[in-house]
Amino acid sequence: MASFFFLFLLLLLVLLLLLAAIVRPRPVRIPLKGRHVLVSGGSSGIGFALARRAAAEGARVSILARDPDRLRDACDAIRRDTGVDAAALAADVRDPAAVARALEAVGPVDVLVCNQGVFVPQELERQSLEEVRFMVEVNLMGTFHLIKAALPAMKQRGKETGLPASIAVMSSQAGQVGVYGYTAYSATKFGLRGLAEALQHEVIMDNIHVTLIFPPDTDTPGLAQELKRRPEITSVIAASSGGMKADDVAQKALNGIKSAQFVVPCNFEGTMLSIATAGLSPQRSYLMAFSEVLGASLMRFIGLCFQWNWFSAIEKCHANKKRK
Amino acid sequence: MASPFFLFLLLLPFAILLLVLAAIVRPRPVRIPLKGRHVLVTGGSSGIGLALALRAAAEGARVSILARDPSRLQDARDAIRLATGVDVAILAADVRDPEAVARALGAADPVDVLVCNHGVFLPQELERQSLEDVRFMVEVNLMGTFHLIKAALPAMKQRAKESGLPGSVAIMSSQAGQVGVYGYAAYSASKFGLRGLAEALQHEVIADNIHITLVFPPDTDTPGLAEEHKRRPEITKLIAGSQGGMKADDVAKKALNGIKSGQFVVACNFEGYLLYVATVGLSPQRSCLMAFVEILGVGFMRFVGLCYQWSWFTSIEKWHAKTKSDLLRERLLTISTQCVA
Repeated sequence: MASFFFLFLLLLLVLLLLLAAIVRPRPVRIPLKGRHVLVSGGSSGIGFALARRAAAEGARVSILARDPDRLRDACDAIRRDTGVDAAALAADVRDPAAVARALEAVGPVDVLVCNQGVFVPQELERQSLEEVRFMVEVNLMGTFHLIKAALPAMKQRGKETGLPASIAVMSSQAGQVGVYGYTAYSATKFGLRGLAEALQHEVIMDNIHVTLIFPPDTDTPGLAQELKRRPEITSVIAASSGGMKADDVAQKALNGIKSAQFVVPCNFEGTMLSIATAGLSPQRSYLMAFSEVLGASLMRFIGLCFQWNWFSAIEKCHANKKRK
Repeated sequence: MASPFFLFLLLLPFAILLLVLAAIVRPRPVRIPLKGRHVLVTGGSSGIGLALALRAAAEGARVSILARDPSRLQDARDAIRLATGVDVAILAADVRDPEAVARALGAADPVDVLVCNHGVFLPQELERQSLEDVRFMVEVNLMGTFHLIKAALPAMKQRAKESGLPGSVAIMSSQAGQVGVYGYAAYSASKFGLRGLAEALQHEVIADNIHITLVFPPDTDTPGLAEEHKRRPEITKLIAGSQGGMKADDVAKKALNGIKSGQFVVACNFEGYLLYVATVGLSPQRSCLMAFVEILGVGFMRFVGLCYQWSWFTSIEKWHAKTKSDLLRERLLTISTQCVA
């Protein structure tokens, strides 16, 4: 009996050592102090919290958003809280020319945080194609525009300084699992993952490191807007994961960016979700890889339990509606 | 030794797991009949779409094919008539144009099985790729699918209610929709997006007896692939291979079988099967046996996946090192010839 147990432990040790040997890309630390951090959607919500934290850590911060007034308010708040003067760039991420001009004006970026996002939950059958397109244009195409505009100078900068750079992309737990009401939003957020996995392959040799952040519902003006429109069933399902404060998400995000994690979950459910949806994403930490390999089975089972719960809720809701 | 008892004790947890799964897997299994029902295949004038249309027609479905080019549609119709004796309806429309799609679907009968199969793929490093190309893939692969579903859904729901028979929305993804690799930033973005769409959509239409199927083919021998190979970056070839892939008809067979059994995820070959287990995530699963296999296999598949990433990143490193040394050698050669001169 004891020998089985010992053999089992030995196998685990072998697995751990194997993982330590094979995990790629290799771990890296991305310094922020004195470096240029650009946060899109940086005038409110998670983006603003990110910009403020980065400024507090000594980074040179630029925030990009559409509305010049909100940008000014955000810069004032950052100056008030950290003494740092952030640069404000007014541009709509849907407009590639405007994005290119803004990035040209502000100079090479070391840490690009593509945080902008819009979310309008609704059953696809009821949702207008304009709204679907809105989310695709802002969340997905907007991120392409930012990366295309920033990449050449980032690569050049990386070559000159020899320091690692980062492209961080704000996804969502809706980018790990698609649920009722989020066809378009989940489409855009899942899409960001495909982009990130491929991009990491393409820029690793330029010492640029990609980070995907997966926050849950976060207390922001954006969420307040979204909650007004949420279908009832979506609220029932979304209650499966707790909400967070924007500053806590920003802290998790920034820590993940600094340690060049490919996937950054923000709370306990997020960590479970990350293990369940690790897929073929790269993993730099052999300890995380170890938990993923060991935890995946349990997480798949729990995932199936969630789907059972969700489909049952959908059934109940429809049965109630029919009765009325 | 008490080995039969031991064996029983060892197998018991698995048996319990299987029973629990049998109780909880959702949505419930379903069979989607094709015979006599209206199957619409987009991108149906060539490649996998044509093979799908052919097979569906051969199985007795009423088939429509939608594509951009009317002459290719005619050729496809002739080919299907030649092979099966069945006349398919042809719809000329560009999926990027929501009004054209709505008109085409409005003119056609209500759809029972909508196969969103159209797709374009232009591999290139994102830094080098034009935003026009990126937009092209997102518009056709992702927005095009939204346009089709929006246009077809109301009539599909109505039809499912009247006939009492299950409907299906099938979406052609790709192995590039399960993992993003070098050269596929935009293509993988569009294909990953389809999965988010599909998972959410299944929640929204299950109560209307409509069932979502995602198909994940590997490289498939089609005119589309031939075009793509011309453009593949060297590193993408190292990672994704440079030969032809599965035959379109084999992919179509797997896809149709998956659609008929209402499977949420359809893998087309062995590697695809491994990929599917590795990337199963929180996707729904109707079969308790498949759920059982997923739970047992997903941990090992994560390990295999990490090995793949090790192999890929190593290839990328090596290729860059080789390119650097080739460049250096060239430069030295140039300098030495100049010196001699």
